[in-house]
Amino acid sequence: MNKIDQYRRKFLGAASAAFVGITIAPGILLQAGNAATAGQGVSDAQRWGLLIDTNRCEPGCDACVQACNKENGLRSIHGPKTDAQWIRKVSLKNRKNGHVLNMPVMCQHCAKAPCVDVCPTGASFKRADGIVLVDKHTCIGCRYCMMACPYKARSFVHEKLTDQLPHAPRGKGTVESCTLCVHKIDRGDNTTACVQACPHGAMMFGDLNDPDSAISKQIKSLGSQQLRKKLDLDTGVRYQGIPV
Amino acid sequence: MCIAPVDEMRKNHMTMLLHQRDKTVQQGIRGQPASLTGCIDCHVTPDASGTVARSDDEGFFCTSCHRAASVKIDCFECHADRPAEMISQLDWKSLNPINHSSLLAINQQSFPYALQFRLETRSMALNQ
Repeated sequence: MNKIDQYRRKFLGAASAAFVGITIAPGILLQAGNAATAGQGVSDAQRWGLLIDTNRCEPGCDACVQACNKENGLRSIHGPKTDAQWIRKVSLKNRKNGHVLNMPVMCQHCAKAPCVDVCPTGASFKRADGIVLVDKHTCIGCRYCMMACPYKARSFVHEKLTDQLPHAPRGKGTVESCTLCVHKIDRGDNTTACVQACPHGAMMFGDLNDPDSAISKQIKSLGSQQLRKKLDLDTGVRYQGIPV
Repeated sequence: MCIAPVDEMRKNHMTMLLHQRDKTVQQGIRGQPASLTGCIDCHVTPDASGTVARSDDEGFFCTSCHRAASVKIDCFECHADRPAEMISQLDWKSLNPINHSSLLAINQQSFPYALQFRLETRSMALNQ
């Protein structure tokens, strides 16, 4: 082994030792507690998710979208091409039999989120309880995550904003998407604005990790599908009534 | 009462906020003493005529010192510079809400996974 190889080995050994030290520290922090309000961080004991029944979702109804806009202070500035959209109402038609599917599509809060993988600054991250968020303090607005997202869930803020809400800071030059109403979850509301607003009872919020939660029981009895399941992202937003 | 004596706040408020900011966003730790919302709730109050100073105004609590110290912060490009009650008094509908019907049309034309959906199920297509 020549001198350069020896040096490389030594360097890699030291580097990997340092890396282990770094990764252990945040791991301990994440396990520290599970009550957001008690001064401790959220834990992976919960996995928050949504269940959407496409058979109950009505065409033309945009109650969830309006509720989301109001809750998070989303407003139109320069028209639909650049306006932020955290929820999209989508309808799909089966050409063979004419059956039309209606559903809201938002950030699917993937367990293996592509947006988190591609983010060069670590701004796009997954919280311990499964919510995928953008830390706008570190977001540089490169929009890699928007390209990586298979659901077109993220929006870029193009314009200077005013009158943001205290619980939903938003600003020019950053990427944003559905937060699963993280401010409501952290204060213990146990629901989201879209779920509260749905007049047809097509949406359900709950803890996917808790076998006794209503959402888990519903999934257990009727099953659920993921959009683009072949990507194997283990989404937190599940659907019922779409073709498997 | 502020969360710490004035001298300490003047010297260390930025460190407190920076520290708390990451804990709040990344670990979901809320309701802690150091919070920007907490600052705003106490330090932004309406004057006799019912108006409040905005973050760009000389009379705004943060700006009054930062101007003198030549400090430029960008907190209020994203964060609210008024307590929640004052913003909730604004008429949401009048602030040009998003036109949903035109968005629907755009979504139907450009939604990327509809194509994927069709490829994956071989029978689905956009309802146009």
